[in-house]
Amino acid sequence: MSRGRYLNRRLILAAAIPVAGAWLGACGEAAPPPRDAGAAGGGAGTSAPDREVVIGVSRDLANGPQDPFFLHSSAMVWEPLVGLDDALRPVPALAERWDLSPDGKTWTFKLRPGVRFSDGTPFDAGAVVKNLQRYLKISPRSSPFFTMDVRVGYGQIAGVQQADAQTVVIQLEQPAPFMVNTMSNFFSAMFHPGSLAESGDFTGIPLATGPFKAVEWKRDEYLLLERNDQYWGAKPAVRRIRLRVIPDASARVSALLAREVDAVAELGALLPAQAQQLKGQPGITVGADPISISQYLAFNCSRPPFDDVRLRRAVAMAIDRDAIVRDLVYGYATPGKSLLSPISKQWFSPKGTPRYAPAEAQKLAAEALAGRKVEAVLPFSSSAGQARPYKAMAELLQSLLRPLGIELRLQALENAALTDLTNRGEWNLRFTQQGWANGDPDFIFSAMLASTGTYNVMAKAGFKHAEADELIAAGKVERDERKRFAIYERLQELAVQEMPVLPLYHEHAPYAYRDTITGLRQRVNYQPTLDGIKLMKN
Amino acid sequence: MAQYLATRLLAAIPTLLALTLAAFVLTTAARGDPALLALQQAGQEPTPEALAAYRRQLGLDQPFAVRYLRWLGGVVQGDLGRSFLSQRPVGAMLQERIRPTLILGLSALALSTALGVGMGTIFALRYDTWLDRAGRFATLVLASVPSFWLAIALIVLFGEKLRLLPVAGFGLDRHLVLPALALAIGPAASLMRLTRARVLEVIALDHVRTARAKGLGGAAITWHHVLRNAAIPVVSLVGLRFGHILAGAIIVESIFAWPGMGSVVLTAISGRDLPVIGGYVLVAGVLFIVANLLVDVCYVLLDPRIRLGMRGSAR
Repeated sequence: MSRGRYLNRRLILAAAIPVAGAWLGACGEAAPPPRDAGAAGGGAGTSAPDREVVIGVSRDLANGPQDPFFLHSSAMVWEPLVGLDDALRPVPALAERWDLSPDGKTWTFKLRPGVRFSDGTPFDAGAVVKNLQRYLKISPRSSPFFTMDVRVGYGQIAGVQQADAQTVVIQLEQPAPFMVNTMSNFFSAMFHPGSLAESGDFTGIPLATGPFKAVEWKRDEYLLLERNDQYWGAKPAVRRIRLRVIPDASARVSALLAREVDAVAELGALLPAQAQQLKGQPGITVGADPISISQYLAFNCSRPPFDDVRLRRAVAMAIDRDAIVRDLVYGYATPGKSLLSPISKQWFSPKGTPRYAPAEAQKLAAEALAGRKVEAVLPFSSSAGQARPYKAMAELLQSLLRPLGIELRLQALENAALTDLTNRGEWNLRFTQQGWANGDPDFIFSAMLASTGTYNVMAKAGFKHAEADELIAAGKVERDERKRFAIYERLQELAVQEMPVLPLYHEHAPYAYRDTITGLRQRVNYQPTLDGIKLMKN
Repeated sequence: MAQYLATRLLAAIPTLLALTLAAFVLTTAARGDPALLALQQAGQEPTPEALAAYRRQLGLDQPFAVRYLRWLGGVVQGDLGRSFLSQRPVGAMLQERIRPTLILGLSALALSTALGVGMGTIFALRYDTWLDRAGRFATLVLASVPSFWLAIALIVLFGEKLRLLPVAGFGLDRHLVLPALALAIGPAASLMRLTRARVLEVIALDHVRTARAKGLGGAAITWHHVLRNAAIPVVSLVGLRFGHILAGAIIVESIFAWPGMGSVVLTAISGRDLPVIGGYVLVAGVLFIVANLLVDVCYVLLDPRIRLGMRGSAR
């Protein structure tokens, strides 16, 4: 080897090392560690009462300027005009009261006085009109939080006017007597007009009126919240909350045990099995509050064998829903009570509760099948398998239905493939979950029982029942609450008799926190009560 | 060498084209309607009108060839398109994620090389002692353990039990240790086995015996005469392992909440987000090709008998 070439090679190597070093070094400068990154307000970490609270969450609660809302409602940064209480009843939020014209087509909203955005600008009717106009412009727009489709929230809007500084009038083409339900929460989220760009996107992290303001966000890493000192209601006790994204369920629990986070909360924070394991661990409190999501078993009424109502009833009576809740979700649910979740005290009726009667089920199945054996397909999601025990439930059903003469063929599918198979109608039974985001019973029945509902049109379940269709149509316009309850009570009863969909269980969402904090709960929309958290002395 | 590198890079273009085409064909062949999945993200059922409008907006009403060629046309002009799910530009999405993935991937590669070559050499030099036998058994086990399992095991041991290292989050400090280890251990184990075998082969050769006869010290012999000659197949394996590390990173990143490209592509796959999947395949393909070009360059540095690009040196 000539000396020149040897030197050359040495030089290339020698040059490569500092270049690589400089590259990594530059990266280091560009990314300060999150804990030092807080710019707004000092004091975090200096004294215990002002310490930042860290909560591990399964998903990023911000999604950027193209999202219709930028931030999830769980971040408690924006507030809607109308909210829902924990029994899913509409309650005043930024609108203090509302009024519907006799023809059902004009809604008038009186805004809460004295509300300011976090920069001190007053919140007024002009801001509401700008927000609603933006929604009209961008609808429909998808989001991992909530799809904004104005038609679904408001019906056909004819016009939005500002009557005075504190009054907004929404005119509709068709009567919508229950619009305060359907427009609640996400559909009426209000932002600072200065945060809204011409294009319909946001100009940056939006300002709003809620108990917290978002001061810093790193996608898929964390969202830093700070108390909004302009807030009109009771101000949060803690100054700063960091929502740290830890997508993996077991890593989230590890972070809690390793004291890296004070709590794990929000949707899917803790799997039921993990909650069970964490119970009794020193220094850790596990909680679980009911949420508005229910799990159902849907029947395909358009193809054999479940086009026969007797067989649908037999299957429903053969399934021990108490056992599913006890053994498969470790008690973190309420056994299926009705198509409507019992969290709605206003609309739930015990007449909608299916009976568990295995002996009767066998008799009814024998009558329907007359000694035949039939096969049925039950596809289920393998992707979401760990969050909900679909596989275990499918296997349980397989063993429960065999004595009835029904042989279940189980198909584990990835989510997108499952949706596709479902929408082609190539199934006999399927698990389906339904959130009841707006608390209006029409939302559930229109989807599940109406012959034109998504269950029947999209998933081709083929349930068609004249009385159900009539009742659903009547419920949409009935303004007398007692008469309206009678309609929905009858529909719940009808669902047991006709059994197009069996309620399996109504979910509770487990969460956990260390003894460093107190006051954490989860609301029915799995929103953690960030504004109620208090730091403990230790 | 510059000419060789340029030729190799140009030759990589058809490979990349084939890769993206395969990604598009496979994603399209897998069932699932991207427009429906996008609108269903939040668990709501879209109205048929909203679905039709969204399909038009995403261009899904067009035939496959039109969609692919349109996407490719954008790529040539530096535009990777917009995500079906989030509406964000794919270029920006991947750009903000590539740095964490590269940092993790290269750290894991460096760690696995150091561990693999170092331990492999030690095992060979202590041939058939208890250390060598224990090492061989350990590498056999570690080479067959998947990285996601190692990730969880490391979290439980170093995070939960010993509380020595953070279990999740991004940082160029202690945060990097566990994810890099989880990714490095598997490749390190196979490198150890190969290095050990190669070193044992070379140690028995005549020139090593000659060097020893000349009275050279053990370290000098190992470094100049054994390792250098044992290195070529080891270096090729390092290049190939980079691909494995990139693939393993997809899951490991999401376990350690490491904000790399992994979680982006996982979400994209389950949502049939074609532009993001295409963009990821392209970027990962380029990274892999570049890594293997660097391996080729290393050959020349290690062994002067090797010439890159035969035409250039055939004078």
